[in-house]
This record gives sequence, structure tokens and C-alpha cells, in this order.
Amino acid sequence: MLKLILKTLSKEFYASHAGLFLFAFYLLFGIVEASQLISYHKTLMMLIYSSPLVLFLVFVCWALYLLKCLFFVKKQLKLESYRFVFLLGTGAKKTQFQLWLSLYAVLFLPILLYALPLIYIGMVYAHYLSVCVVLLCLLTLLVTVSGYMFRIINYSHVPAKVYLKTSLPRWNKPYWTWPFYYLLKEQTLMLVGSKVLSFALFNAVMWVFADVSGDIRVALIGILAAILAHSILIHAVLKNELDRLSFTRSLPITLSSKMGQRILVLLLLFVPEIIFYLHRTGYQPAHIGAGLLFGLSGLMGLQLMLYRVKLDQDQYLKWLLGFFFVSMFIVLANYYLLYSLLILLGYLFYFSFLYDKKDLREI
Amino acid sequence: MISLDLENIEKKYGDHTILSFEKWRLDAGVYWVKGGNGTGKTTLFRIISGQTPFHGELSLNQINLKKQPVAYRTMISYAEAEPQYPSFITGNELLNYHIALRKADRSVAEHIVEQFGMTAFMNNKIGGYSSGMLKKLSLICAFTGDIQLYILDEPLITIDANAAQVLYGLINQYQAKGSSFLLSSHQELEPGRLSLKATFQIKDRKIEAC
Repeated sequence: MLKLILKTLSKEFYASHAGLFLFAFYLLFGIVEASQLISYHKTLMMLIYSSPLVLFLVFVCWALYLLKCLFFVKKQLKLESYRFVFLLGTGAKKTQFQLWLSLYAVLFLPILLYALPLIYIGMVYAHYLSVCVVLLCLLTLLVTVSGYMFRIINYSHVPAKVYLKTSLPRWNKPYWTWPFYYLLKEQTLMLVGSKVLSFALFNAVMWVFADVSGDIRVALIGILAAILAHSILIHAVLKNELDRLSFTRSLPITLSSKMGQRILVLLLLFVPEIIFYLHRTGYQPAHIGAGLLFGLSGLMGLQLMLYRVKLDQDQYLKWLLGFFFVSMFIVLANYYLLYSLLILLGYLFYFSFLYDKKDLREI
Repeated sequence: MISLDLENIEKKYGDHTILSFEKWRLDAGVYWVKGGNGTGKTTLFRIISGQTPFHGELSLNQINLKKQPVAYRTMISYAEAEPQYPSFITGNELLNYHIALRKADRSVAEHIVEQFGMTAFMNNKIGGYSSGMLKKLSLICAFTGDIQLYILDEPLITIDANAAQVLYGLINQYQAKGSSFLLSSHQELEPGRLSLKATFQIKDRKIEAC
């Protein structure tokens, strides 16, 4: 059972969060010259041990990441294809607990791998108490989440208490708003998580390159990070379209209307990032056009990739990786306008001539 | 009067050929495509309703699906066997979308809603609907607008006996007005309720009359 769960849940988790991992990897290992990498991380780790507040903030980040893992697993368990996981309830308590602990340890692997040198540095510089706290924190997080999963599997018949009930104002929802309602009502955490990540990554880029912050390419790399933070949202929107809006394929909707709605959704989804970007770049007209075009074409690029791979998450991950590196080099080489226009034209071409020739339900 | 023409149709899922035939032509009337699960009925209906790509030519009243997709889709209406809709919208919101898109008469749509006994539920979110209610909603939406060819995939599954009678009544009523119907069902239709022009089955990837 563990092998099966690792092959399904953990694989899907890593594929869905490819953008996040790519960018985290870049921030940790890509922005510093290879010769300074060790001293950079050593300084970072010493900073973590420098005050209980910083250490606490690190724990909060770990907890948030684990919460993201938990929400992902819970969301998957609601799918018909994951009903088999509830068979675990027939197993012994210890076996179940060990299985969840193993799964979350795998999902938590990026943190655990970074925690190893962190503990080593702590021991070398005699921060024994902090090291104990780090170990205790890691153990507590993993044990708590495993225990919670045990509860979900074995006590799913007990109705959950509703502590907070949200409701959006009732009005006749036009069709173009449906993707937003889907994200707001059914993928709330994914939406909030992606937006928080998007802003965090954008700010991180601006902070790292603060000495050359006047260069538009820095802000565009920030936009690229924000685009990648939206990779899972774009996947979710497209999956929803495939599963529950497929009836529209037999309705008489003009190409311009279809295209207009798609572009409107992408634009509105990215409005907060664009406003933030404009604020950071000082509302310069040239920057407005470049940022908007690059942001919109980036999201279109994600959609095109998903159509190309028929929503296959493994393939999506590989394409995201390629997209990240290609986009990065193109921005650095100052060809971002041409690149954005090419993606935009590719998108228009795809929806004009190829969209009806592919049925994503034939997977 | 309608004229539905399918020529040199081939449909594959991967390497597996589901449908492969040279010609199938229908004029006005009610047609039943029968057969067990997995014979290709739904695939055929999805092709005719413009839902899935295929090799070959398909036209209704000489309007080719690939050349004039919007004009073609204006003339057809498709109700899926197992409809899926966003759970956060209400029945009325879905119906309003269909009414606006098809520029349909609201009072006619509301009358059909009433006939299916769905009036009290139309302001409820679709997520709270039973499978029978979902099926009724898909049929209500399918009967919205001025349609020439209705494609109803397994229209009788999950609906109750009263709703089945309403459906038979609507098919007869719209047929009298000149519309045509393609129905699929793996169950036998109620004898004498519909005047079927022909019955077909899919055998060895080809459509043949029964």
C-alpha cells in the first residue's frame, strides 16, 4: 500500500508543485556563485540560530508547507480514484500510522534535506538547545499530521464541525466568472496559497536583486516567478473546464467569444500581480506594456503546455522546468518582448485552428 | 426536414478504433441507437454533437461541422448520459446561460422546468442535486431554443417514471414541430410511446439498421 500511495499521492504532489520547487531551488542554489554557495548557506543557517524569533519564523514556514501537503492529500482523497485509500481503515493502527508518517516524510523531504545541514551547523557551533527544538519541531509536525490522517481515514463517518461559514453575495453569475467561483469556493486554499507564494517569490526576487532593481529584467524575473506560482491554479482551472464545462463544446459559441473569455480570465487572475509589479516599477509606460504582455503570455504558455501534455502532471513538470529556464535566459538576453509576442501568437493560433482537434477527455 | 450526413468517419482512442464507416445518412424522424456498454454509442453522439475530434466529414442540412462550427452547433442540442456541471452555480444560472446563448424563449423553458417538477429546485446550487435532478436539468437545457436535431444520450437513466413520461411527451411534441431526435439507450424504450423511424446498432465499428 505504501508503494502505491507514494507512486500516486507523492508523485502528483511534486508534479503539481513543480513551479514552487523550481523557484525555491533557484533561490537557494541559483542566485549565488558556485564558489560562494557553501558560505552563503552557512550564513543563512547561522542567521536561523541567531534569534528565537527567526527560528520560530522558520518553523511557521515549515508548518505552512506541511499544511499545503495536508490540503493537497485531503483534496485528492475526495476524488473517486482515491477511494481505495480508505481501505487502510481495515489495517492495524500502527501500520496505518507508519504509512502516513512515511508519506508525509516523503512530501516533507525538501525540508528534511535542508534540516540535515542545519542540524550539523547547529551542533558544530554549539546551539544544542536550538538543535533539540528543531528536531522536536520536525517530529511534532510529522506525528501530528500523521495522526490527523489516521483520524480522517478511520473517523470519516463523524460529521465535521463548521466553525466558519463563508458565503459570497448571490447574483446571476455570468459564464466568465465561473472559473473564479470555482477557485474561490472549491480551491480556496490553493488560490490563497498560490497568491501568497506569488507575492513572496516576486518580493524575494526584488530583494535578492535590490542593487539592480531599476532593471526591468529583474521585475520580469519576478513576474516569471509569479507565473510559475500560478502553474497549479492554471492546471486546476483547466481540469475543471474539462470535467464540468465540457458541455459547452456542443454549444454555438463563437471563436472570438471563447478566446475573449479565456484571455479575460487569465488577465483578471493576474491583476493583483500586475498592480504590484507596476507599484514596484514606478508606473513607467514601457514597463506597464512589457509586464502585462509577459505576464499574460506566460500564463498562456502554461495553458498551451497543459494542452500539449493533455494535463499529464509528470509531463507538465518537465515542460515547466524547460519553460522556466528558457524564459529566464530570454529575459536576461533582453528578448522578452519578442518571446511574449510569439507565445501570444501561438496561443491565438492554437485556439483558432487546433483547439477543436484535440479532446482532453481522451486521456 | 433535416439531413444528417456522416462520411468516411473514423474515430480512434489511441490505437483502438471505436468507429469506422463510410456513410450514414438520416433524414427527419426519431432514431434509436441501441446496444450494450462500450459499443461506441456515446462516441458516435459526441462526434455528431461536435464534442470530440474525428476523421471524416459531418454535416447537417449541408452545413459542415468543421467548416461552419457555430452554424452547425446552433442547429443541434446534446444531452450527455452523465452530465457534469459546476457545483457552485444554480440550476437557473445554467439555464439562463443556455437561454442567452441560444436566444431562446424563457417562458417555454420555464414551462419545461415546471413539467419536470424542477421549479422549486432551480435556485438551489447544482452541488446539492441528486443524479436524477441533474439529468432532468440537462434535459431542460437541451430543450432550450429552436433546435433541429436533439441528441439525447441515455435520456432515461436515473430519471423517475413521471419524468420519463414528460420526456416522451416533449419528444413527440417537438417532433410534430419538425425537429428530429437521435436517442441512445441500452434499455428497451417504452413500447408505443415514440414513433421510431428506425433503430440502429453499432457492430464491428459500423452502424447498421436493426
